[in-house]
Amino acid sequence: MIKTMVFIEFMKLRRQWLWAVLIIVPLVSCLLGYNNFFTYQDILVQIDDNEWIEAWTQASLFYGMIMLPILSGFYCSLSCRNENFGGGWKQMLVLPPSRVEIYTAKMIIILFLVLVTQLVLITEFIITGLLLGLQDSIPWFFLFKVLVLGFLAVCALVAIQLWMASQIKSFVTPIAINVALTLLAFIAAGAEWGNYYPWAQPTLAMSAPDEVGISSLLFFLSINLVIFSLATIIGVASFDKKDIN
Amino acid sequence: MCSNIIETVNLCKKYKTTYAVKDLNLQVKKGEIYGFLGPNGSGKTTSIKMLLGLIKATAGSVTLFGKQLESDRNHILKKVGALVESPSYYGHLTGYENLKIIQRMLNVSEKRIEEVLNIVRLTKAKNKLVKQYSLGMKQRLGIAIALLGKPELLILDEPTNGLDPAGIHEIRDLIKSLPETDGITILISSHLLSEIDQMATQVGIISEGNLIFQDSIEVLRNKSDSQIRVRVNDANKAKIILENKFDDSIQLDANSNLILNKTDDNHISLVNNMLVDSNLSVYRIEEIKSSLEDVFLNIIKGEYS
Repeated sequence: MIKTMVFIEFMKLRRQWLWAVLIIVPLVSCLLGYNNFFTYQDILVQIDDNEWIEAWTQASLFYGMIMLPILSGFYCSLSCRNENFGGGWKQMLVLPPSRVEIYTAKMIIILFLVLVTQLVLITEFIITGLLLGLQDSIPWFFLFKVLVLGFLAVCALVAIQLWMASQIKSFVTPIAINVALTLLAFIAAGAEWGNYYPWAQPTLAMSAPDEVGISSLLFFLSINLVIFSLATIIGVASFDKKDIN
Repeated sequence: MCSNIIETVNLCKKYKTTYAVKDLNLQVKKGEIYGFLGPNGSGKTTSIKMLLGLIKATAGSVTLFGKQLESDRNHILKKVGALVESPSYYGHLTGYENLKIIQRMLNVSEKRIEEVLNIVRLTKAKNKLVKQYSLGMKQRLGIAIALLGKPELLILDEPTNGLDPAGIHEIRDLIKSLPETDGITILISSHLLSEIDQMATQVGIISEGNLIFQDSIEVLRNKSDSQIRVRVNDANKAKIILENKFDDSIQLDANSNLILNKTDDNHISLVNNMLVDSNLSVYRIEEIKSSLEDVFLNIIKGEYS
């Protein structure tokens, strides 16, 4: 049943210009990052530094701290907007699939979109870098690591964002709250409590080795898992109880 | 074995301090077309949403097909088709894609999509985006969605709301044709009695959250008693004469017509003779029958005046 439900969620994403978002948002992050990189190249690249990793510190600044948390919140809101707008909830919820299955399917499709976004970002980062003539060897392992860790960090965030989007009927309100909480990550990322702050976790998880990053992998993964589980349990439970008015 | 397809026992929904629905005891038998009537805001949609589990009841129970909704949700909802409030749709998808989504969720054959499109006559518009549909077409799509799983119970909440007379007629004909062909039970809500008058077999009337009438439509029809209106040249004189003779108070309406409650032929003949013998000119004697709509309104008023 879950497979069918995920397929259905996929169908609903048609004709929403999602592919454009998927291509453009990471690309903008890359371009802003490379622009910064070439402007401050003298300061950024020291002896023994890999150009790619230094360029990444700039790209991930825009992407991890701003674009990704906002984008994942947008995916959640979009997925719920399709239901709120035309009364989809009340249609779906009088059919056999349970509310837990419906919620889970939405979660899966959103996480899938985030994963695709991550892949697009890395691909665009490499292609743009090559076109701009970066010379050093591509740090494949590092890029793979930030892709995965960034994705894991966003899992916890999505659990919170989907809970919010499924409870608030308006399309804009959850996005606005999300943007505000994202901006708070600027402060959080530099502070000790940033490690516990879901909106700061993606940027910490995706940062380069010589930046402020996650304090320890095990610690990060545990915090992440706890937040993810808690938010998912609360999200599913409140969705299950919710009156569809 | 319980023959009631829908049965609710003391179903309540309370919002803060007020009851939207109070002690609702619905009984809908197999094969019936049950007209669920009430003014706007009387609790129809709230009741229907509780039947389907969209909102949780504050108290009471819902039994569909003899089973509790809570415990047998999946099994029950497979046999139910529903259109709740305004039709639900994904505007950025075509009519066909909308049906395809529901078809996958119900796990019925894909051929069924063409069948229901044909029933509601949307075959030609199936590849148009639903946001470009007219209200009537969206409503028909909603009915198509409700019919997709070949339901044994069809619940339609105000299916003709917002439609023009032609659209209302069309939907009515469509609904009337269903039970004969498939033997299904239908619950249809409306705020207008005239809309379900010609199709309902049973009627439930809800007002301010209370079910104030539940019986066959014949019983409701029998409540529509008639009166006789008599127009004469001097109504006040006629009134005194008749009241003296029959020892019964006679009313005058706004246009100074006599209104008689006894309507049998002998009585009317006698009245006529007396008026003529008193040298009054009798212009008209006519029967006025209160419509079902009046009966409906009277029941609702009577309960809360």
